[in-house]
Amino acid sequence: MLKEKYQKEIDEIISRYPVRRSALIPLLYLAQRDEGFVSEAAMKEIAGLLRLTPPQVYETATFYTMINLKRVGKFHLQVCKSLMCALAGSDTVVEWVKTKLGIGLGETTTDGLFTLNAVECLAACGTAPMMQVNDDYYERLTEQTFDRILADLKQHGTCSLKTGPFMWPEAPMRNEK
Amino acid sequence: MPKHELILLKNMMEPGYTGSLHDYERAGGYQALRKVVGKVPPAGVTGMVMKSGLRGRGGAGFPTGLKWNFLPKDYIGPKYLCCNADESEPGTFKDRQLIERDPHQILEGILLACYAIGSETAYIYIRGEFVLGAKILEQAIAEARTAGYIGSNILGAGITVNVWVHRGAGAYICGEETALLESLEGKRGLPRFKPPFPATNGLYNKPTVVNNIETLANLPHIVVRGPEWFASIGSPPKSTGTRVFCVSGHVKQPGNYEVPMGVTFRELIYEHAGGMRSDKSLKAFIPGGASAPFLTPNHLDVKLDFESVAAAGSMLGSGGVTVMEEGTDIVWAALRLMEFFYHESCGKCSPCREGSSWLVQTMRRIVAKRGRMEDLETLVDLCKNIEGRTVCAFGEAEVAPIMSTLKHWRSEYVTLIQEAEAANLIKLEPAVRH
Amino acid sequence: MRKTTTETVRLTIDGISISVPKGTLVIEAARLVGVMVPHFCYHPKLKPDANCRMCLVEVERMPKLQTSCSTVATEGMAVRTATTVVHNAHKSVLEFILANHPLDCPVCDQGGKCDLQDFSHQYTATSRFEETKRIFQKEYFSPLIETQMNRCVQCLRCVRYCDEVMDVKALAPIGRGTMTEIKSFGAHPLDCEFCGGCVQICPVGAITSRLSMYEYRPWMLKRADTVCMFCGDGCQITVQTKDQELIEVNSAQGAGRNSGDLCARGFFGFRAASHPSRVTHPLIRRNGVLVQATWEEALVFVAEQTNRLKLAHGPQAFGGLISGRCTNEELYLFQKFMRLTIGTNNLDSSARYGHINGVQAMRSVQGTHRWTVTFEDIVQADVLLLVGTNITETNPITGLKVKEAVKKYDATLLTIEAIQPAVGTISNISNLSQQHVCVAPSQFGAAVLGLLKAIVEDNHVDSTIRQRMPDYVSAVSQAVERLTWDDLALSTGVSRESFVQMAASLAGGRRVVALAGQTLLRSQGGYGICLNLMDLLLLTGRLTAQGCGFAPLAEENNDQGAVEMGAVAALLPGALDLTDQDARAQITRVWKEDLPLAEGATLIEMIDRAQAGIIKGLFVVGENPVGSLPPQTGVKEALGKLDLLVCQELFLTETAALAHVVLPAASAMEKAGTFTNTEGHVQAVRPAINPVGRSAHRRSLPQ
Repeated sequence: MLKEKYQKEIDEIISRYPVRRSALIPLLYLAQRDEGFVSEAAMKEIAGLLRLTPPQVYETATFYTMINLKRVGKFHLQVCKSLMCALAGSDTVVEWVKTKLGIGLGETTTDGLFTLNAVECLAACGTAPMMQVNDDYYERLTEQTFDRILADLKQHGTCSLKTGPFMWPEAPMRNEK
Repeated sequence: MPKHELILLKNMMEPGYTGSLHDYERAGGYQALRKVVGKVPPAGVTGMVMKSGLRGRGGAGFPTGLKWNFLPKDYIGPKYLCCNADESEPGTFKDRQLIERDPHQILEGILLACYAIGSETAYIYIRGEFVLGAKILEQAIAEARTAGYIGSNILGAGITVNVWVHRGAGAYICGEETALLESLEGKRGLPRFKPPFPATNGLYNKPTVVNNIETLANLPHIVVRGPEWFASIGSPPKSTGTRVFCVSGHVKQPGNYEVPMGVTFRELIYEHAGGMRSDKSLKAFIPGGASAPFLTPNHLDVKLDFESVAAAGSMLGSGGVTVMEEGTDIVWAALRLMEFFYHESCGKCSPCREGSSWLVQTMRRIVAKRGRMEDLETLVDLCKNIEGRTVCAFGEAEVAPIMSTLKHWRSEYVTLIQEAEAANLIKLEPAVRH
Repeated sequence: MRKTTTETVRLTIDGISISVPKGTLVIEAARLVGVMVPHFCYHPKLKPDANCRMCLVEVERMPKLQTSCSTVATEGMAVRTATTVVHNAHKSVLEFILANHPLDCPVCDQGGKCDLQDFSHQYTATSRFEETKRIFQKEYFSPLIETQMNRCVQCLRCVRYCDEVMDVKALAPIGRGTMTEIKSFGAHPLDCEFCGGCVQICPVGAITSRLSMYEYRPWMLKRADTVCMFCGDGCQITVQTKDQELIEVNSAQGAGRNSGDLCARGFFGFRAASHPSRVTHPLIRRNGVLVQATWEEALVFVAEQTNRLKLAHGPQAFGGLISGRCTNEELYLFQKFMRLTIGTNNLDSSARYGHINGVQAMRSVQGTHRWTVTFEDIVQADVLLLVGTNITETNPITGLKVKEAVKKYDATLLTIEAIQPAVGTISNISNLSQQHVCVAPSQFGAAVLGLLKAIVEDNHVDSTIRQRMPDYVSAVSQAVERLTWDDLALSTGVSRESFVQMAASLAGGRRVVALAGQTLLRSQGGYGICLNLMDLLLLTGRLTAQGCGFAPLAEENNDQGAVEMGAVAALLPGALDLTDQDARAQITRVWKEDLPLAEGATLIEMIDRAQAGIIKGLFVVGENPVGSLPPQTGVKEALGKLDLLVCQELFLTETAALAHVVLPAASAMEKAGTFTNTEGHVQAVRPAINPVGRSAHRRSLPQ
C-alpha cells in the first residue's frame, strides 16, 4: 500500500492543491516510482485517497503516455521519432536498438532490462538524434555513444553521457568565437 | 561576442554561471522584485508590461499585459498563475534551457506576474519528460523560499506567493492553455471550448493567467530596465524584445539563439546557426514549430517578427526554426509531422480526431507509393474541413504541414503518385462507397 | 447560478425573431422557433461540451462558424442555420464522424432510432474515406449493458450523464484520439447503479440494452406511456411490446415527473411482470391444497364463505389489507367494498408502514395531505435538508432532483442519514452533502431535536412567527430547553457545533425543502419526527414561504393514493377523518349508504385480532404481511387461524400460500387507472400488454 509507505509525501502532495483531484498525476508518478508501473491496486488506492472513483483515475492514467499501466523493462529507451530528430537520423537509432538488443518497438528484452519505444518530440531538436532513458536524456547520439550508453546502463545502471543542465550551443563554444 | 545584446540568455553565457540563487543575485537578480514589491502598485507593473509591448512567447503571441488586464478587477477570492512549461511543440527547446540554466530568472518573472495580477499561487506546469528541469526548479523554489522571495510576507511587504512545480505526463495538447488547466486539475488534458476564457473561468473555475516560461523570463528585465527600453528592441511597435529561436535540422550549429525580433531568417540560419551543414542548399524551413506552415528559400529575407511571418503565410509560433536541405523528401517530412499530430490529437472533437487519422493514413499511402491523384484533392478538402471547426487551435496546426507543402511542393506529391501509377502497384479500389 | 431569470434577450434565427431568457443557448433558441440544428454531444441535461462540432451555425459578425450548443444567445444576435456554408460544414463534420463508423446498421439495435443514421439520410452523406477503419476488440461490458465501441462517436454523453446527472462516475473515456473508448475500470465489467441512463442517452448504437438485443426494430414495437410501479417517484415510462412480450422500457427525454430519467428498477426491471411464476388462474384450497379453479367457482366460494361468516360473526369479523401498488381506482373500490359490502373499517394498506406518518403530520400541522412543494421546488431550493432518506436507493429520481440542485445550481445540502459518505460507482447522497451527520435510524428524532434546539438557542426564529405565534414559540423553546447538549451528543454522537452549523445553514436558506425518507417514516416515532421537522421550517419562517416545504417520501408507487383513497382505517376517501361528522355526512351522501360506525383496526391490530379469533376473514390485495412483517408479530400463526383468507396476487407469496382462495391479479403493465406519486401528481396508468393468464383486472374485485 502506498499510503503506509509514503504517507508524508502523499500528504505533502495533496496539500499543494485546493482541489484533491489535482494530485492525481503526481500520485500516479509516485505509484510508478514504487512499482515501475501503475497497477490496478495502486489506481484504486489513489482513487480512495483523492475521493475519486477508480474509472476517474483510469481515464486520466490512460490519457498520458508517460504513465505505464503495464510493466516495462528496467531501462525504458524512448527514441524521439519526430521530424526534427528524423532529419538527424533518429530512424537509425531505432535500427541500432533493434539489431543490438533484438527488440522491436514496444518490446522488452528477455532479461527484462530494456524496453524500446519510439516517442514524439522530447524538446531536444537542436541536439538530435536523442533518446530518453527513464528520467535521463541522451542527446547527439552516435553509434559509439549509443553502444557506451547501453553498456554502462547494463553494468552500472546509469551512464555519464546523460545530459546535464541543458544548453546548446554550449557557452564556451560561443566564447571562443 | 554575439552580434546582438543578450537578455534572457545573458547570465547563462557567463562562464561558471550555475543558475544558483547566489549567482543570479550577483548578476542583478531579484532587483526587479525589490523594485516593485511594496513600492509600485500591481496595476503599475501591469502598466509597464502593457507599455513594453511584450507578447506571449508560447505560440499565439497574445499581448501579455492585455491578458492580465482581462482578469476581473473587483474579484475577491483566489486567482491563479499557471506557467506553461509544457514545451512540446516539435522544433522548440528554449524553455528547457531557460529552466535548467537560469531558473531564478523564471521564478522572479513568476513572482512579478503574481504580484501584478494578485495571485497567491503559481503552478509551473512542466512537461513530464523534463525530470531534470523539474528538479532544478524545485531546488530554486526552495532557495528562493529560504531567501524570503517565495512564501508569505515576501520582502516584508505582506505579500504571499507560493510556487509549485506540477509535472505533466506526456501529452502535447497540454501546452494548449485550457488543456493545461484540465490536466492540472487531474483530468484528461482536453481543451475547453471558449468562451469563457481562463481570465474569468480558469483553474478550478477561478480567474487564471497562463503564461509561457520565456514570456515570464522577460518580466524582470522589463521592470529593471524599463518598458521603454524593451519596446525599443526588436521590431516595434508590434514585435518588441528578443526571442530565443531554436534552430534545428540541417544546419551546422543547431541550438538556441537569442536575437531581437525583426532579424531575418537568413541572418538566423546563416550567421547564427552557421549555415547549412553541407554543400546542399536550403530547400525548406519551418519558421515557428511544427504547427507553422513550411516556407521556402524565397522567404529567407522575411523578418522574424509576428506580422512579417504571418504576411509570408506562416507564423512565428513558438520560435522553433527547422531547416531542411535540398534532397529532403518533403512529403515524407509532412507525413512525419502528421504522424505527430495524429498521435497527439486528444480526441475531443470530431474533425481533429477523425481528420488526423484520415490524413495520416492517406499520407502514409502516398509516401508508400500507393497514392492516387484524387487523394490530393481529398487532402486539401479534409484540411479545409478541419481548419476553423475544432475546439482548439490544434486543428489549424495539424493541417499546416500538409497544406503548406502541397502549396509549395505539389510536384513532389504528384511525382510520388505518378511513380505509384507507373509501377502499376495494386490499385486500392474502394471496397464500399458510402 | 440559479435557473430562474426574468431577463430576456432578442435574437433572430434564420430571420425569425424570438425572445429568450438570458443564458439560453443558440441551439435551444433555434428549437423554440422550430429549427433543429443537428447535434450529437449536446443534450439539454448536460453541460455543453461542444465536442462533436455538428451543430455549427453562422453568427453575424463572427468570422468562424460557431457551435450553437455552446454559444449563448445575446441581444441582437443574428444566427443562420440554413446557408450553404452551414450545410457544407454539417456535411463535412458528418463525413468525419462517419469515417470510422462501421455502418453495421443491419445488426445494430439502434437502427431506426439512431441520430447518426437520421442525419446521414438528411444530408445524403457520402464518405470518401477509404482507409482502414479503427477497430476495437469486442469486450464484455456488463450483464445488462452492451457496448459496441466501433459505433461510438465519442460525444461522451454517457460519461457526462453518469457524472453530471447521476453522480456515479462509473464510465471513463480510455486512451486518446481515435482510439478513445468508453470503459469502466481496466478489464473489469461495469459495476454501477445500472440506471440505464447511458443506454438512453447514447445517440448511436454504441451502448445498448442486453435485455432486448437483436430482438426488434423500433417500428415493430407497440408503445404505451404509463407510470412506473416500483417506487413513489411516479416516473413516466414508455413500455414497448411485441404482441404479449415486454421488449423494452424507456422514458422520453423530458417526459413525466422524472424528465426522462430512470433507475435500474424502472429501466431494467420490467420483466417482472412477465415472470413465469405469475399466478395465472384462480386457486381454491381443497383438502389443504391450492388447486386451479375458474373465476366463477372462486367468486362463488368467496361469496358463500363471506356470507356465512358475516351472518355468524358480524362485519367486524372481517379485515382488509391492500397494497399501495394498486391503482387509485382499485384502492377506492376496495375500501368501499370493505366499508359498505362488508361493513367494517378494519382496513389498511402498505402506507401504514411509514407513509401514513408523513401524511398525518402534514394534515395536523398544515392541513394538507399532500406536499406543498414539487420536484421543481427541490431543484430550485437553495437549502435542502434530508433526514433518513438514503434517497439514491429508495427514491432515486427524487434523488436526481436533489443531485441537480446541488451539482447544477449549487444548493446547500444538509443530511442526517444512517449512511456514511463513500465514493464509489454507486451514488451516495451524503457524498454531495455540505454538512452530514451519520446517526442510527433510532436517533433521527434526537438529531432533529438537536437541530431544533440550535435553531431556538441561536436565535434563528423568524421574527414574524415570534410575533404571530408567541405561545407556540415559547412552548417549543421550553421543550428544547429541557434537552441538554450532553444528552443529545450521547445519543446521536453529534456535537453541539455540528447542530449549530447546520442550523445556521438552514436558517440562511431562502428556499428550503426538508425531505423525510422512509427510514425515518418507518422508524419508531416517525410521526413525531415529522412534526419536529415541520417545527424547524415553521420556526425559521420557511414552512409557508414560496418554494419551501416538507416532503415525506412515499415508498410504494401509490402509497399516497392509498391514503387519499381512504384505504386506511382512520381515513375516508379524500383523506377525511373517519370521526369527522361533516366528512361522514359528505361520504354518506355520495354513497347513499351509511358508513360503519366502529373505529377500524389497523394492520397490526387486525393481525392481533386474527390471533385472538375476533377477525375470521381477511381480504388481502397485493400485500404480503407474512413476508414483510417481522416474525415476532406472529403474523403467520394468526393468519393460519382465519376461516377465510382471500389473496389477490401476482405471485404465490408466503401469505398467498396460506390463503383459502387466491385470485390472479393484473400487474401495472396490464391495467388502466391512475397512480398518485409522492408529490401528489395523479398520473395515468395504461396497459402495455393484455392481462397475463386469467388475471383480468376488471373482474379482480367484486363490484
